[in-house]
Order: sequence, then structure tokens, then C-alpha cells
Amino acid sequence: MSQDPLLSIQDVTVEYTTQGKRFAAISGVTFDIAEGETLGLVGESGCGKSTTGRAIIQLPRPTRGTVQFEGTELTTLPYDQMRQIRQRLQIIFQDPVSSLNPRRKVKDIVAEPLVIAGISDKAEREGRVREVLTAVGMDPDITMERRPHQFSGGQCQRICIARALIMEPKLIVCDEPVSALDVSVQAQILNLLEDMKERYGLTLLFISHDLAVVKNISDRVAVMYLGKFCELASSLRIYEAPAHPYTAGLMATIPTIEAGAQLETAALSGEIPSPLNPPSGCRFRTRCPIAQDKCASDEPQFREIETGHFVACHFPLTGGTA
Amino acid sequence: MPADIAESQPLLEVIDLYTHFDTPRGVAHAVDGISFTLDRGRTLGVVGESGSGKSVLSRTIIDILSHDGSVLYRGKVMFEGRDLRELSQKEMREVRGREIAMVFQDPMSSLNPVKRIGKQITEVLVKRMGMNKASANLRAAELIDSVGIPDPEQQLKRYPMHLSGGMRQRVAIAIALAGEPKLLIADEPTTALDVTIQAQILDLLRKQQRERNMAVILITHNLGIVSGYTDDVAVMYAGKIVERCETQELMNRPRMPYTEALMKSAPLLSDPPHTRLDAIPGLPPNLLNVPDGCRFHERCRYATDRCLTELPDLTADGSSEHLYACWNPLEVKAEALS
Amino acid sequence: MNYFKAKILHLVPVFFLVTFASFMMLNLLPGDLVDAILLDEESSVPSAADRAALEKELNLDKPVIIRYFIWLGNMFQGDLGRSYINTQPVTEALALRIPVSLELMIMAQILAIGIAVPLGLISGYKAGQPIDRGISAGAFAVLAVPLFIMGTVLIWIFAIWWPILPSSGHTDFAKDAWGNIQGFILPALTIGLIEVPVLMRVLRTDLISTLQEDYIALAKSKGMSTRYILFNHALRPSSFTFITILGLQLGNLITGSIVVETLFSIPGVGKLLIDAVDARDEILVQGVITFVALVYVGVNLLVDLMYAVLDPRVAARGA
Ligand SMILES: Nc1ncnc2c1ncn2[C@@H]1O[C@H](COP(=O)(O)OP(=O)(O)OP(=O)(O)O)[C@@H](O)[C@H]1O
Ligand SMILES: Nc1ncnc2c1ncn2[C@@H]1O[C@H](COP(=O)(O)OP(=O)(O)O)[C@@H](O)[C@H]1O
Ligand code: SF4
Ligand code: SF4
Ligand SMILES: [Mg+2]
Ligand SMILES: [Mg+2]
Repeated sequence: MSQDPLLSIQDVTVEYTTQGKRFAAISGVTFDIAEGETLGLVGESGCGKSTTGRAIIQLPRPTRGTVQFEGTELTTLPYDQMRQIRQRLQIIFQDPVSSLNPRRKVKDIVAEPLVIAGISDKAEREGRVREVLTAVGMDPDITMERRPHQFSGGQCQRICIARALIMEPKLIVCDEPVSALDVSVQAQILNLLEDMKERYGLTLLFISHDLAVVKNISDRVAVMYLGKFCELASSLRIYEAPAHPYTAGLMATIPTIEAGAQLETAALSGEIPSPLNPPSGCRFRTRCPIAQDKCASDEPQFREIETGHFVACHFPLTGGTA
Repeated sequence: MPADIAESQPLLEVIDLYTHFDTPRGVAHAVDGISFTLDRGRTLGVVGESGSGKSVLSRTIIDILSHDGSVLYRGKVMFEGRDLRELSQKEMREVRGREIAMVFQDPMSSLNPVKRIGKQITEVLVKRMGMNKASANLRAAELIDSVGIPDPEQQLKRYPMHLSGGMRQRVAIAIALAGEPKLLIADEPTTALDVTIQAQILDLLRKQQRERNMAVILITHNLGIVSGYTDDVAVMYAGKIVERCETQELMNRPRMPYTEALMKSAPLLSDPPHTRLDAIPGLPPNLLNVPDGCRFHERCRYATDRCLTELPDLTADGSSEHLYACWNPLEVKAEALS
Repeated sequence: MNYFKAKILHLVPVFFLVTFASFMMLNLLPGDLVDAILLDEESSVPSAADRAALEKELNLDKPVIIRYFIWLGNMFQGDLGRSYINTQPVTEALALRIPVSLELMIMAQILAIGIAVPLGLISGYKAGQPIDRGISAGAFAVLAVPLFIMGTVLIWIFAIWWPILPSSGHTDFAKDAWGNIQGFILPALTIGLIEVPVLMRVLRTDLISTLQEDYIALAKSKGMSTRYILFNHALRPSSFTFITILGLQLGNLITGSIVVETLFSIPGVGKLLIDAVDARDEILVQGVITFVALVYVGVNLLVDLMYAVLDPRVAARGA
């Protein structure tokens, strides 16, 4: 892509302190998102997906590294200017029900960003709330006066999406937006996100632990393991020819209707190590079926093995048929 | 009863089972007229979305719901020819753990946080299998070993908080296996786990099931799991079974529109990116207030007038064992038949 | 172990605060101790020289802050001073009374726990059913009864109407063990019964939520009996608030024992305090308060220790 990316993350590390020990929840994370693109982020629980998403909106500020959004460096931006930027950078969470204030009416919840932005004209606010609720498939006449507990999980997620959309943001970080939903409703929300992306010209960072969901919605996919990126490629390419053994293992373990009875043995043995004490060298080596001595001593670099296909492995798989 | 009859008799036969909850907001029809049979050594998948009554069904079979009058029951649960619902509480206790055991959804909450792992296993061995403490400890270590946890003796002394989610679920399985049950009910045993760990746990269940010739009811909301790990399947919707047959048959020839819709709404790895999903419109019904007629009719693209008023029974075409509850079943595709 | 270090560090200031505040208050109280003592001893008006001598003897000529530190220094050497009135060392007075009060309080706690635990378990297990409603109604009735009335009613029932227990007095344990225990039953029951409703209710509430937990369902699905599940699986995880309340009620327990010791004429610390206050024996009052603060800090540590014993996760979290 010739133009500058909308979002550019360079070498971002976020450290937390747990049980008196400082550890990196993510380290050296680098990626771009182009305007209008959907980047999918997959990985198992605790690998740092949410931390990556939150590093973008500076909650909390990364320990090291740079985050540039529309050419502005966010990590050093004063708080009040960051607040301005946040209108253009929204986030949607996994649990829709608990991310809505149960005591407020839907119209107030959805209008809140407008109030914060200082739009005081009540009629204008109401007009925009109606518009955005209609866009996410909720009937404003029925919805506006009610409170969140009167809605199901899927409906609450629609309300969350409406709240995120009302400021017409550029980028939305979707942190597992469908993980808490039933299969039949999950498809509705995924379709809705695609429609909204079209209508509002959005760029998405879509976080999920479900590879099939991520493949469906993303243009490019990044796979994380223990706080680091292992692989990044176009959605099609990463499924056709996964180069990192972890990506390949993940794919082999998803039970899908297609895989059916072929699933015989778990492709990945062993437990996920603690991020407080990651293995030396390649972090995946304790579970990697093809690990060698080198993997324990040298940390693999995140490098480009073909155009737009990055992988952090000393012995990338070439078995993918393309 | 001659031995061969006992063998040919199904292990579990659930006949027209109802479990309703009397709540302040009305009666919840959680399990509403369910029948199925399960043979020894087979795995039955029960698949349905959340709130369709899967957990209530399993808790009714093993009889751990309340008996204080707030729960209303009807129907039979025949286990090896005995109706479990007719047993006294004391007799039922003999069945639980020994004949039928259970594994729950969330291993973080299904193990007692304040008791050592060892104690949670040995209490079954001592209280139910009549072992003494020493041999129970040995057996517990064997069980821990057989579910793939390293360092069995050490683990017995630890508390659940020291173990990861996957390890806890292994412990839960070891507890269930301790009583050498003939039937294991696993209620969404992997929903709370990561995908790679999920595969390990499902493999473990399958291995144990084969070794022990145990029957398993595997409850899940994931058709992919059903397709990979079960022999037969029952699809639940709003408290009822709406389709029941062999798993391969269901995957190849779904007859009930809800089953088809479920299959189509989940994204497939083989689809190209941005494939539009065939979402099911609307929401699953509220069990306090189920619609008349077919419970799926508000969301069904094949619904006709009859569906609005008449509830279809679970029936089969001719002598087939493929049961479905629908007035307008999907046609069997020509290529599928060949 | 870090967990307990943190707890101790937390409680040390409490101890200093209580002793300091009480020291200040006692000293800022209106009235002049020297006058009180001298007037008591002689009938004539005391001379200025007498006053000065006595003030010097009692360190009363120094600023109050200095006096606190002198007192504190002495306290750490185990010297709480001597009674202004009868010059008996305060520690000696306390040593005589502590065993009596301690026995009373321990018995009261045993009775309270012994009654509250089974009631809480039954009413939590049978929540909403007639037996639970009956127990709850009884608990609310008891809750409405003041300590003083409770004691009187118990005396009336068990000492007068059906005279099986003594209504007052104290027998030395070494002389007559059974008589000693008998003498404590009614006063301990008075304090204990007052505590039962709150204890029982918190246990009931916690038990109801514990019984919803999956691990209880798992225990049932293992075929364990109800009794076993209640005592072996549900009781421990349900007793956090119970233990907390037990610790918090220590204040009530001390107040309770003051009233009860007076009502039943039991020579305990409570009675000592009342007598000391009557006589304006500041140093003795201060000694009793110090002792109570120490007990308070000790019991709180014990409660924290109990948390860690009850739930291994507590100690792990604090580490
Ligand atoms: N505020 C925090 N303080 C300390 N540690 C934290 C904090 N937030 C996250 N972590 C740790 O950082 C690591 C990454 O967490 P993160 O929430 O980003 O994972 P995730 O990939 O989103 O996982 P999940 O799939 O469970 O949502 C984990 O080990 C987590 O325990
Ligand atoms: N103890 C209960 N009291 C009232 N309603 C209940 C109770 N347990 C379950 N239900 C209701 O029964 C229905 C089925 O629940 P469940 O079997 O847990 O669904 P799932 O298929 O997700 O396991 C739900 O509507 C649920 O709200
Ligand atoms: S670097 Fe080595 S251990 Fe890591 S994924 Fe590649 S082969 Fe496996
Ligand atoms: S009975 Fe009617 S509404 Fe129900 S699934 Fe069949 S076609 Fe659809
Ligand atoms: Mg997360
Ligand atoms: Mg369930």
C-alpha cells in the first residue's frame, strides 16, 4: 500500500507487575493497519491480545515503543489531546452486558460520547442516536427508553457497537466481540460489523481466539503466542500455507464440521507456559513438534519470508500448498 | 433377566422427560418432553445454544436439581431397566458416582477451592468404593497419571488454584472416573478452555471412553465437536430435541431447518475471507414464554401456516432412524443419497 | 509469611492509636485527680506543697505527651503502673481478673458458635422452607432483646422458675471445677445468645451462595450424602463472613462482658473497669484499655490466620 498506514505500532512492550514480579505481557510487537483494513489478532488466553488492543488506545500507556495514529504519536500525547483522539479510536469489549451501565437508559448510553464531545443540542443528539441504533438493527422507538438488562447478549453487543459508532471513529478495536454470544447470534454480529465497516468506512482490529471467525472477517491475520507475534500474513495465505508451527497446530485443533471425524489426536501437546517465566529462545519451543537445539538458545526474529508474510521461526514450514 | 437381554437393553432410556422451574416470573420449560436412548459404550452428542436446556437435562438425569417443590418433573429415566426417578434419595446416591458420573463446564468452579486435589478424588474411593485410605491414595495417583498429569503423588497434595484450567479439567475427569461409572455426562467440558487444550481434553475423554467401554453424553454448543467426537447426536432447541440420528447422518443430511441453519451460521475455515454468513435472524425463545406451534417458527425461513399453530413431533421417515421435528423437512439432496 | 507480616504492620498502629487516644481522653477529663486522692485521704483542704509533691510523684507536673511516653516505656517493660487509689500494681489487678473474663468470653463464643453453626446450616440448606422461616423469625426476636433483658430473663427461667443454675457469684476453678463452670453458663449464654442471630444469618447467606457453586453439584454427582456435603464441602468456603463477624463482635463481647459481669457479680476485667472508672483511677482504667486493645489486635490476627487456614488462596494472594 502506497499511502501511510492509519495505525503504526513499532516495538511496543507493555509491562505489568504481578505478585511483586515485573513481566512483559507483550513485547516487541510491531504492525501496521492500513485505512479500511481489518486486521485479525488470534491467540490463546493470556497471550496478550487485549493488552495489544489496549496499548493502541493508551490504556495503559506502553512501557516502550511507539504508536502512531494518523501520523500522531500517541505515547507522548498529553492527556487532553489523547481524549480528543479517543473519539476517533473506539473499543468494543467481549462481555457486552457488563460493559453497559445497567442504571442508564440506552439512549443515554449511546449518546454519552456526544455529551463528552460537547454536543449540547439535545435534538441533534437524539437524531444521531436514532440513526446509529437503526444502523445496528435496533428499533430506536422500542430501544431508546429501555435499560440494558432488558436486552439479550447479542442486542447488548449491538448497543455497544452503536455507542462506538456514534462519533464516526476511524478505527475500532473489537476485543472478542462475539466470544460471549451464541453461534446463531454471532453470525448476525459479524455480518453487522462488515456492514458497518462498509457504511462508515471503518478500520478494524478484530481480536478473537476463534481462527474461523478471524479468517472470515479479516484481510490480514496476526497470530500471537505468549506476548509475541509469531506470524502475520494475508488471511488467505495464512490458512493456505501457515509457516509457523503454532499457527499450523492451532488450525489442526479447531473442531469444525469439515474436519469431522479426522480429528484423532491433539496436534499440540503440553501446557501454555506462564508469561512470568517464558522459555528461553523461541517461546513456543516447549510445545513445538519440530523444535531443535537452536530454538532453545536463539530467539527467532520476526522476518518476512515472502511478500507481506512475516514469521518468527527458525524453521518455517514450507509444506503449505499454494 | 437373561444376560443377552440385559446386553441388548439400552444403558439409558429417557422417556418423555419434563423438567420445569416454578419461578416468580412464570414456569420455565427448560426440558420439555425429551426422549432418547443410549447404548453401552456409545457417545451421544447433545448440541444446542445456551439456554436450550442441555445442563438441566443432564442434571435431571443424575438428579442433582432441587426437590423442594420449585422444580417440577415428569417422565422416566430408565437406567439398566430401573427408573431412576422412582428411586429414593439414598438409592439414587448409590447410582451417582458409581453408575453415572459427571464433568462440569467450568473447571475453575467445579473443584472445591479449599480442598486438596487428592482429597477430592479419594473421597469417592473411600466413601463410594469402600477402599481404605492407603489404597485410595495409590489409586488416586494412578487416576491422576491416567489423565495425563505429570508427578501424580505431588499433585495430590496441591489445591486447585495451583493448576491451570486444562489440568483442573483433567482432575475433574479423574474424579468422574474414580467410581468406574458406566455413563459419563460431560456438560460442555471444554467451553472454558483454550482450543489447543480443548483438543487435548476431548482426546482424553475419547481415550478413556474406549478403554473403559463407557457410554458418554457429550454436551456442547459446537457442532464441530459433535462431528469429531460423537457417534449419535441430539439437537436441542428451546427445551426439546428437534433432530436425532447418527452423527455422520446429521452432518451429511440434516432434515430440520434449525440444524441446517446452525451449520450454516458458523464460519468455515475453507470459506474465503469476507464470506457473508447465513445468520439466523432473531433470538432463541424465552423459555418462560415459548411460542405456539414449532418453537423455531419465528426464525425459520421454511415456516408455513401450520408451523405457527401445531407443534411437530419427533418422527422419522418410514423405518429410518433419523428423527426430526418439522412439518417441512429439508429434502434429502440427490447427491447425498448416492 | 509475608501475608502475616503485612497484617501485623497493619495492626500495630491500631494499638498505638487506641492507647494514645485513651490516654489523652482520660487526662483531659475535667476534675482533678490530685484533689480527689488528697481529699479522700485527709479531711482538711490539701496544702499546695502536698499537691506539688503528689503531682511530682505521679509525674503529673510533666506535659501529657511526655507522660504518655513514660507510660509507654514502662508498659514495654511490663509495668502498667500502680493504682492511684490502692497502689496495687495494675498488672497484678489484671492478672487476677483476666482468667475470669477470658473463661467467660471463651464460653460465650463456644456457645454462640455451637448454636449458630447448626442453625445457619439448617436454615441455609432449607432456605425459604418453613423451618428456615421459623429459625429466622426466632433470630429476629432475639436480635430485638437487649443484653440486660436477656440476662434477666435467663436468670428468671433457669435460676428462679426452674432453679438449676446459680444466678450470681463466682467459684474458683481449682476449688470446684463443676461449680465454676455452672456459674459461667448463664452469663456466657446471655452474651452468646445475643451473638447468635447475626452469626447464624451470615452463615445462612454465605451457605446459600456456596450451595449454588458447581463444586457442590460435583460433590452431589459423586454421590456424597447431604450431611457430608454440608460439613465437608460447604461449611468452610461459607465461613468467611462468619469469622469476620466473630472478630468484629469482639467489641460487643467486651461491652457484653462488662454488663454481664455486673449483672451476675462476676469479678472479671469488666467489673474491674467499672470499679476503676467509679473511683477515677485513671492509671488502672488506662491499663484495662491497653489490655483490651492488645486482645483486640491479637484476635484480629487470629481471624486473619483463620482466613488463611480456611482458604489456601488467601495466603497465596497475600504473598
Ligand atoms: N492489569 C494487569 N495487571 C497484571 N497483569 C495483567 C494485567 N492485564 C493483563 N495482565 C496479564 O498480561 C497477560 C496478557 O493479558 P491479555 O489480557 O492481553 O491476554 P488476552 O490475550 O487478551 O487473553 P484472553 O483471551 O484471556 O482475553 C496475561 O498474562 C495477563 O494475566
Ligand atoms: N434453577 C433454575 N431456576 C429457574 N430456571 C432455571 C434454573 N436452571 C436453569 N433454568 C433455566 O432453564 C433453561 C435451560 O438452562 P440450561 O439447561 O442451563 O441451558 P444450557 O442449554 O445452556 O445448558 C434456561 O432458560 C435457564 O434460565
Ligand atoms: S523457532 Fe523452533 S521452536 Fe520455535 S516455532 Fe520455530 S521450530 Fe518451533
Ligand atoms: S416446523 Fe415449520 S417452522 Fe418449524 S422448523 Fe419445520 S418448517 Fe421451520
Ligand atoms: Mg482478552
Ligand atoms: Mg449449560
